Amino acid sequence: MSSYLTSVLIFTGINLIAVLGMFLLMGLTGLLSFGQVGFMAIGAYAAALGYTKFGLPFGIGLLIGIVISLLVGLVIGTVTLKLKNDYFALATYGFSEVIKNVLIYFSSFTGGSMGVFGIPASVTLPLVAVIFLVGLVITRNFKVTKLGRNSLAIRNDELAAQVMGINVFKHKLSVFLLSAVFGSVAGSLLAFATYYIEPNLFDWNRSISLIVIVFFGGINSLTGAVTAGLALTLLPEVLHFGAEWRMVIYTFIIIVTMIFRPTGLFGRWEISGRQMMDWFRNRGQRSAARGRG
Amino acid sequence: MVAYLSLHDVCVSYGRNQVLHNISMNVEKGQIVTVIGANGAGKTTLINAISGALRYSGQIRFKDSPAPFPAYKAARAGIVQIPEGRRIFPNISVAENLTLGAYALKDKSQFASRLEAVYKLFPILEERKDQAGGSLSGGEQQMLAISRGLMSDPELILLDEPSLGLAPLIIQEVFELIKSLKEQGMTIVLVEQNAKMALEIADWAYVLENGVFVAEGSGKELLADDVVRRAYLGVKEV
Amino acid sequence: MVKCLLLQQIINGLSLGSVYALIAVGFALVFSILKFSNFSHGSVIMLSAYLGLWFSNNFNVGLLPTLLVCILGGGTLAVIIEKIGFKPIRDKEGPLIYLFVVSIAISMFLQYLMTALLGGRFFIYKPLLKTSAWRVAGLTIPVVNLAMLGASVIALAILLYVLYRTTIGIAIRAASTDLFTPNLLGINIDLVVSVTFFISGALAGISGLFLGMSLNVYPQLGGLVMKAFIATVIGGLGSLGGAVIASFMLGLLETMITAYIGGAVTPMVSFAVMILFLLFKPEGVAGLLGLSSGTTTQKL
Repeated sequence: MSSYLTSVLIFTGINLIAVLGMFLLMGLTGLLSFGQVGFMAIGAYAAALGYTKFGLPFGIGLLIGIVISLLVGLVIGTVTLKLKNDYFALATYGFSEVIKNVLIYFSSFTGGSMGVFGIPASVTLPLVAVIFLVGLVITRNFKVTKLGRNSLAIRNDELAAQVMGINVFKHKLSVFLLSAVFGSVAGSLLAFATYYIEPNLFDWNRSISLIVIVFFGGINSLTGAVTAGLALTLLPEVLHFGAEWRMVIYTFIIIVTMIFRPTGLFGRWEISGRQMMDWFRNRGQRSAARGRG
Repeated sequence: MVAYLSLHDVCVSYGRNQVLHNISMNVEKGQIVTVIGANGAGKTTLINAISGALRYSGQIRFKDSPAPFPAYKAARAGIVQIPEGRRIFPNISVAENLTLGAYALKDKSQFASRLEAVYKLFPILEERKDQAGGSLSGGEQQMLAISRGLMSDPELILLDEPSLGLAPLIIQEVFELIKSLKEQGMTIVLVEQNAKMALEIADWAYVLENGVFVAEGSGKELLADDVVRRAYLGVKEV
Repeated sequence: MVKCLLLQQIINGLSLGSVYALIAVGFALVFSILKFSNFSHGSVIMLSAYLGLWFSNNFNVGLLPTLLVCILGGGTLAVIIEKIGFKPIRDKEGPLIYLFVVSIAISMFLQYLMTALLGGRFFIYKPLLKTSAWRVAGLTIPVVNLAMLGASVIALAILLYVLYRTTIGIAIRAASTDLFTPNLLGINIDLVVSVTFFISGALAGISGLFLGMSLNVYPQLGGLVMKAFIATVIGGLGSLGGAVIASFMLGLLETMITAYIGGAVTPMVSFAVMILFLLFKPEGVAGLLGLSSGTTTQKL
């Protein structure tokens, strides 16, 4: 495999891990968060600074990132999850901006807007692939756990869920923290997939692209989110226009899709082993019938 | 002779859920026509169809041409709906509510005289003209809703549950007013759960059940009808 | 001398606040009737700045004709965005969050489009004003700031007149509580929505011109919509009066912090204030003052 392709796939995989976190939050709580990049920044800086300042290996940095993300997430989640819709989106945007500005401001430790240099690009494709698959399995199965089912009940009708005795706030917080972990892990991987990181890597545009990917695939379809994540991350690579025109076409496709198919490309559709079996069986029967006819 | 307002095989569906089934009815000019029926029978849907506020199949004709669509065109053609629950604008003043009511008034020079007439009819509205619409009591809000509808000099008034949530004394007043509107030459379609009072003032009436007309007749006939008495007038033994 | 500096900062803060107010009011106006945060508002600002630049350079005209072109151009652009981007979703009765996301996608699209067409570089307005700064009693006040303040105050006064003294303005205020009933009164609600977007875009056009004159023109200029966003939250989403007061407060606060503490912490402080309001006073300044602006301060 060419090194170009490998690196494209590594970044795609990292993006997909962040998308999974976003999908969990949006799919299960209906909340739109601009905070995901904040957690990515925490994960990235924990891993990067852990290495450059203290010589900690990647694994330890990743864990530290997760712990910090959980602690920060606990605080941010506690104060923001009581808010609704636009308010929540705004408050989380404020959070990620604050993180970005803290990283810029405390430059003696974080390197400021110059960023952190000298991170070994030691993340390999198999590592990303394994972490992504683990994340996928967790996300896929989360919906059928009690926590997941209750969360869906909350999304559909918060009041009814409350009446049924579900602790709405606690559920939202759990999902928020889980998605923060996904974000943090993606961030740590990103730091070790490049040689350097800077605060502006974790800006508004990245938040938006995560949100748009989930909407593009459909917030009710994991298959959709992953496919959209793959397509929309690879698409700019495939479209060999000038770099600027790629983004124009990319955003244009997104707008058109949102207008003409607002439930996302995939709606509620999911790939499952059973469906595929059914499909093959039906195909078999059809061709058998054709054979008889 | 074609009726002033006529409906022919009107059907309305919300998604897969059909609410009105082949409704046909006629309203003559200057009449009060009442539609009675239980909650969820499709009364508001019927009123909204005549108002042009939702899509329907079938024909609605007004003054011998297809009824205007959508709602704002119907209102400009003289068909005014006074909606269920009043729906006055709570955040703007009483006077501003009335100004918007006159939006469809063709001859704007009439505005002052119509406003005066409305204030004469309901002096309380003039007293409260600078207050926010939402600060009025239920009865006052109904008066405002009717006044707002009258500001545009309508020909056909569609009244949706005007008695809902009002004290008996005020209901009496509202019905007196409806009668006086008829005397002034307006045509009225009145949809009500309060069947007794509605039938008493009706020239002609329909009974709507699950989106179908199950009976029709003059107000008096229906008041005397056993089935109607049991189902809608709360009479247990006949 | 210290007093003079302070006075100068106050004037600068007020003029910055006045531009925030123009943007915030346009933003709040759309929010008040359609109940979503319209991020494409920023692209209208950015494109108006380019439009004003092109017009003033090509036709060699002064401030007033350019201002007029920006007002008309911004208004028209906002209406076009509504018709293409939001109307189809509103007609399908899609959830509000879709309108929000599409507005973000539109703002990204237009930003990248301008980058692709003209490059990311800065364009500079030729001087539209005869003098660049006034020196009065030891103060140095950029004239563009004064023009900005003056134009904003006039625009807001006209807006107030339209909303409270014209039928269409009353209809806009009524539509903030009910988009259905106006139809029953003969009011074409789509027209009301279009007029609202036109007003919102016209205000964005004014701010685009002045921002372009003072900060130069570049594709990310629309990012300033975020400040207006913060101001509308502090003001109380949907409340116009609250948005105006909060904008001036924010303008002053930012100028003071930049002058006396340092520009690096300014964004953090703004966001911190916003989050504090969200948490402890979600109905914003409007709620604090018991302000009723004619539009609702409806909670989401």
